[in-house]
Amino acid sequence: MSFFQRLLQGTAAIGLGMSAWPSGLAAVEPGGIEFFENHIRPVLVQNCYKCHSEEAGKAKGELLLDTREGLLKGGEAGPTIVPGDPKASLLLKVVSYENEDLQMPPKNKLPDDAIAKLTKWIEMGAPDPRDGKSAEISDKGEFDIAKRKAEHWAWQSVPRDVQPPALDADAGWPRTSIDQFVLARLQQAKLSPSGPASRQTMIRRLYFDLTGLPPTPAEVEAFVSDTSPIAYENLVERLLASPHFGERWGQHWLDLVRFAETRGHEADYPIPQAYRYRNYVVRALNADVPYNDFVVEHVAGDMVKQPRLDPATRENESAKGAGFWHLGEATHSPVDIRGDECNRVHNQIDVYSKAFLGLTMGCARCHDHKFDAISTADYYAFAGYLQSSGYHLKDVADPVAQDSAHKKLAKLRAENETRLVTEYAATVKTRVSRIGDYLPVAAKILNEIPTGEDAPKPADYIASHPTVKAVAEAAKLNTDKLAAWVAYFDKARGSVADPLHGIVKVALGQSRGDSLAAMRKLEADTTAQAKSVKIIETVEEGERNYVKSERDWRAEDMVADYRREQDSGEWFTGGKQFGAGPMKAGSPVFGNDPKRPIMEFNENGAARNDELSTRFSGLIRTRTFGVNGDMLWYRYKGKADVFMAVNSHRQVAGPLHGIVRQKLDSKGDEWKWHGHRVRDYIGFRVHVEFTPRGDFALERVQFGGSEPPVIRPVNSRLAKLLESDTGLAKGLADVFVSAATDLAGGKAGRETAQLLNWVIRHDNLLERPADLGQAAAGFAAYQKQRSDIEKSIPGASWALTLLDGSGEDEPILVRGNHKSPETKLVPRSFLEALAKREAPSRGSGRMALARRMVDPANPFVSRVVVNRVWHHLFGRGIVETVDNLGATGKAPTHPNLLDFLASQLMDRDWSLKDMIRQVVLSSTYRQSSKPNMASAKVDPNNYLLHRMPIRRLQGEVIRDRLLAVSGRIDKRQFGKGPMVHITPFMRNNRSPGGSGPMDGDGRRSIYVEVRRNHLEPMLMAFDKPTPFSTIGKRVVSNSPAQPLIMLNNPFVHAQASIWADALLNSGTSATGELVNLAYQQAFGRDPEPWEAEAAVGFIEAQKKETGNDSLKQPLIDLCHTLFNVKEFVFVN
Amino acid sequence: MPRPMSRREMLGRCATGFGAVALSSLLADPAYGKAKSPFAPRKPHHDAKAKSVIFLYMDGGVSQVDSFDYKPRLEKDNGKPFSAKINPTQFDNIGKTLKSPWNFKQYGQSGLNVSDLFPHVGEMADELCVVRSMTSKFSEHNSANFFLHTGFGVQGRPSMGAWMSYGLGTEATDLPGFVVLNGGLIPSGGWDNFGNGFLPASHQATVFKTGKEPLADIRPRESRPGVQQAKLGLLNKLDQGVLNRLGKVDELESAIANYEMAYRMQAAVPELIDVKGETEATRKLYGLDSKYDPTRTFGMQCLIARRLVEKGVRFIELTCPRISGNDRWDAHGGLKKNHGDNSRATDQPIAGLLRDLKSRGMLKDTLVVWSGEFGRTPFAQGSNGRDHNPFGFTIWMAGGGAKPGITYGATDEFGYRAVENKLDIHDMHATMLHLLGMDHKKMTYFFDGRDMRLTDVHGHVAHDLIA
Repeated sequence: MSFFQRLLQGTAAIGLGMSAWPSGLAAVEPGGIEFFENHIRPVLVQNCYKCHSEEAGKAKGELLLDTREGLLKGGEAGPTIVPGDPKASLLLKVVSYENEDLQMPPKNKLPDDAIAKLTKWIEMGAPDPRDGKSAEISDKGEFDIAKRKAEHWAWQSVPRDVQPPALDADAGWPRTSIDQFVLARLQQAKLSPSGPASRQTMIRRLYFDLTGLPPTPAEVEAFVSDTSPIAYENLVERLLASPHFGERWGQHWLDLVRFAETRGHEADYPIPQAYRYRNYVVRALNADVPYNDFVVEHVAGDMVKQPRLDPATRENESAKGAGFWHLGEATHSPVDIRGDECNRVHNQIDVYSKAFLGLTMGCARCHDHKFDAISTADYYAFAGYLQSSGYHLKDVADPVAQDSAHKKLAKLRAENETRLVTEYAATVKTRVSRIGDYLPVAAKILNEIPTGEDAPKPADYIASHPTVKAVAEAAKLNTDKLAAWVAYFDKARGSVADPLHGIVKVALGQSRGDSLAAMRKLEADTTAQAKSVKIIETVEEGERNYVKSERDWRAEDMVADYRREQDSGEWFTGGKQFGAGPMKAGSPVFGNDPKRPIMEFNENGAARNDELSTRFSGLIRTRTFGVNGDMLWYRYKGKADVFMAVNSHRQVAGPLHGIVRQKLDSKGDEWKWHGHRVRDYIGFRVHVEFTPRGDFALERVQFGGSEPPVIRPVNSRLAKLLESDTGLAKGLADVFVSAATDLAGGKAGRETAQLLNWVIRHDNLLERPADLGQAAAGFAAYQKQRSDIEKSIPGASWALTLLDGSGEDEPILVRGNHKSPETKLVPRSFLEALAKREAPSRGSGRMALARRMVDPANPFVSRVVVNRVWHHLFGRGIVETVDNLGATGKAPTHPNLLDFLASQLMDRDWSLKDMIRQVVLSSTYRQSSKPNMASAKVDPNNYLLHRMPIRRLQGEVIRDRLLAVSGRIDKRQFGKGPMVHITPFMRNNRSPGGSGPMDGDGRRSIYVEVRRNHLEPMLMAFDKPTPFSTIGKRVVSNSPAQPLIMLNNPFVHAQASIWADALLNSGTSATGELVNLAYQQAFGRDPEPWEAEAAVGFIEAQKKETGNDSLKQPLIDLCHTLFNVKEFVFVN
Repeated sequence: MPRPMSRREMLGRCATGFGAVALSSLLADPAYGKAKSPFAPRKPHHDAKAKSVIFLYMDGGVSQVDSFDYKPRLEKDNGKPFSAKINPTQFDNIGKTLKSPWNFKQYGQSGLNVSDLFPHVGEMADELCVVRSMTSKFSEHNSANFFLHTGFGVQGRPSMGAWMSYGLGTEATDLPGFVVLNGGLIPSGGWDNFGNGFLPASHQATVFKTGKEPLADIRPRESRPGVQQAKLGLLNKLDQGVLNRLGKVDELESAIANYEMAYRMQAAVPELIDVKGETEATRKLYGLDSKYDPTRTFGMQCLIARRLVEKGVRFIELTCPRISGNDRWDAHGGLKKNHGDNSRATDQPIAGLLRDLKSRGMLKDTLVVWSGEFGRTPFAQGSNGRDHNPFGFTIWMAGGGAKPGITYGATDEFGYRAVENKLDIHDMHATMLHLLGMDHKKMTYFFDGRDMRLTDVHGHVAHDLIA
């Protein structure tokens, strides 16, 4: 909690109790009124009334200071003063300029004297003679969601029974229902549609609109001469089925999600795997994934139960959709990390709402939407979904294979576990059979070894001692083993962590009673210590001046405790590695070592990645929690990378925040504590992720001052032994045997595990029959079966997506200021105007959100997308403002048509290809684009579509067309794509090393890297939008950079040269024929005679100029000129 | 098909070499009139005091307490722990209070205190309108740069120059409205600091570099003179055919007209950067004779800025020269060398620019603004650096209707936080627009469901700064 949050909470609580108090105060303090009049009123009038008085007509921050009531009530930020308590008074905080975000008066700090007077006045109890009622101020009263919803067309559900209008006369023009809608509007305006465009025009139009590539001369020829009555329909089908369809429409989509592969800002760090999202979009559009599913994948693709697979790689496609959330810009080392988060989340909400809903939810960050039925609560209710969902690089390799392997491994284990542990248990008796022989001898020897500074090490002593060997031989003991026993005793007597510590002490001479008492004391002491853990809280006093304070440990300081079973609301894992829950105490961990088939028995419950197979990938994360202590402690074993996401911040690259990353490595089999210093983030919301690097087990995550103690409970079996008269050595062996019996009987628990782990870890002390018989064979068979299944686990493949964490709600931030949160949280929910407020019970609730979005009752998703289709095919949507169907958007030109199309989309399985097909088959789309003066007078902006518009091609299409016409194009699909070409001109002090090829390897533009700080200059000049927000409608501008590029850019020149070479290799050298061919390739048509003449004339003139008979350079120059003809960058 | 001789053909035939074509007749032709150009000058909202802006961007953030905001208290506290409350900083490596290693001296009638970093600019003190109470919202370069340039701390919003080009067009006929003279350093956040955001791409900065190719793709690549003209002649013919075939629609006509501007730029840009015609005295004034490379670089930028103003370009931004061994003004360590080298590069050229504008009578309607994205801390980072400080720093304006010879606002006694007449970046934008004749609340572009502004929903014109 920031200083300011605490301040607000503190004062709010006090303020309530105070409100009745001050009215009588003035009378109590006789000089008070005078003091107010002399010193306070003038300060208020001069400095505050301008913005906070009825007279000035301003109540900024909903605060009025011109009455006592107003002053005491305060504004959005809470009560202004607490009479009698200057320290708790907001007024003094703000006038002292302590808080950067709330300083008053805004422009000038008050003189110190005035501040002193205000302090004194509050100390006096704030005597204030001003009475009168403070005006009611709230602009919230005007905001009425139901009214807003009722008043604007776009919130009304899509009528499902819109019929095309009846026409007076249609002259045979309409081909489809669309045409009936369009013609009816034209007829109302007494206009007629234009005649049909030529076949040559139509094939170009269709190629560019559906694939973004020009037709080849042969394709044009085939279509123009096709006599089939359905030649056009056939062409449409062919293009809809083209693999390049998804590349053209994918580019449109990428504009909506501000697609880029780097994060911009100072260092332009890469966004890992971003290109896979692009490829996913291309594939999804080619596969005509129903749009409702496509939306679900974007919002909750990571949670789809049966994900869609990429047929080529069998990767989880659905999860990749949710990658779009994290394609935005990101800062490293933000000083104000929460402010940075709010901006990031804002961008996510902004993009989400415009792209899918055509609504500007972003406007509701600071206040209720000024025009639409979107409240500030809606905005923060939505922000909660994002707070509950983390950035995630997920292993998307064949999920079916992963599932199947996981299930098989679980089944294999379930089928074999009882048998294997029983067989193992049966070997324990043999193993411990000679403890009774070694134990007393070892104890005796150890007791004889002199102690003191010069004392020999037990092993040396044994090796050099003349009688040990004799003793060993006499007792039929193995000398090495005996030495090991002695060494073990030496170690165990000093280690309370050793489960046999108490036994060893007795063996070495301590009385049973004393030893048992010591064990019990240890248990009591460690239990007490664990209960009395202190937390060092670092409280900000001001912002950088910390005060340390100590408090007792509380239950909420336990962040995650995997010793117990988790319910599904607190188990957050990505990938399969950690299974469905923590591993239980007493469970065996099966290894691959034939000599040690059981690695260990799990003593306490723990999250472990080795229960089934570490070949799966994955991570485990905690819930989101507030940092409330100096140190966070992890109890773990094995190796893992730790990442603490503070306010969901990811781009860590110094100088700040490096500490959020930690590496865990226990370097052995022991459980360890790792302390993570998190003091810099006290008051912040965080979660911690653990990504294993090998075997990894995590027992708990908790706050603590110093390293938390480990409770050392007395093992009841050993206690019983010490309480009995049984001989120590024999008794101990019996204890092990009885633990093994319990294990075989399915009664394993913590104590059993502890004892049997001792057996496993002290193999060198125990008997090891050469052949463990049945057990060894059983284990070998199991290991073989397991490793066979493991081979079917696919190698990891990473993609960007989300991962659900704990359900987190956000408070409203007053005026969008993250330092002014309200205390109440807004439950996560979709827009109130569209769905009942219904907080999800656990997890983020994104899947339910996605389902609500695509419910036919939501009028936005379907309308927005069909309108986008229309926009891309006609250059203007039925609603021109394609990203904004709200009240400030443009009204639809054909509202009924829009509803008709939306309804059709839903009726026809949300197929976008079907929608595009319907449009391009219409007579409306097949009109000529030739302007008609008479119609233009009535409909100058062509809103009624009396002709097809002439459209400037998008930058990517122009570049692709250059490559296609020159023949350089490489139509390969997918992959990572080439790095962007850093032109010498672009290169600067912040450029990355290296550069992509100038022609992008001939790849289509959609595959060329989008590097935020080095955007392709040619594409930018032709209005490719900066990737920062949803851009459904690109600006079409006219800048001198465009002709300069087309005239002078080396890439364009290179393409002219490649093209000319290809022409010269075409088998003809007749200038006229070359010109014809060039025209066919460039424009999909033959030149008109005068054009041919001009072109040939140009070539001849150039030849004459050079005095050289070579055709090559003049042809290059002609090709370059043709690139610059406007027909090359426009489609009619 | 008989065809009349086109303007292109005329051009082609008249040409005796690149750049030698007389263009005046072309410009007078209503068919290619300014109405079609995105840069056509537009009427301001009110009478403008300034016609053009030269924005001297001090990349990385100049230390106010070492330049224009003299604080004796720092001398007293030097080496002691900083005694005021400290906000979190970018590097979180707080050292002791650090006095300025430079001496301060009063200049001119106004008696402005200027450190030895800026002796030349100091001489121009009576032209300066110094604001000592500027604030920003961000402690990181990238966000602060975006904020300074676009009024938002995030990527993708139009740069102030783009807004001014959009709002006012340009008086220049052969150059666009917004030009950046890149001295070698591109600010953190990259080219986006000069982007058009959601405005049409025509308003993005045209970035000039020093060197052989001052502007991307400005140099014709044809190997022989006359080839480009021949191509353009053919092109014009073929384009007329396109108009005939497809129809005379605005989109096509504008695109054709656009080639005229590009063609003129091909000639205008080399002319512009060819300063041979400038007198020896002028060249010296700008420091073009300096032995120090970066001074010559920045001097050339300043001189070209003046020439751009003469052409009528609306907004010219200068970025700093790249000085080896220094990371712009961003003196996290080695303050003395860093600021010393940077001032050596910029001081004389800036003073020269002001003097030159003044003597040519151009200063009165040219607004010069000198600013970094934030200032620096009065306490040390480590032992001899200063960290970022958005809480109070100094900028200055000169000419263009800014009140000369004044200082405005103040920081606290340490020079850490603005406490008197606090201004923020939005106020600076509002004031600049006001001087250009634009009401910052009326200059809008519809995007995101609302009328967007350079000043978003903030900003006040600082009338006290206006002459």
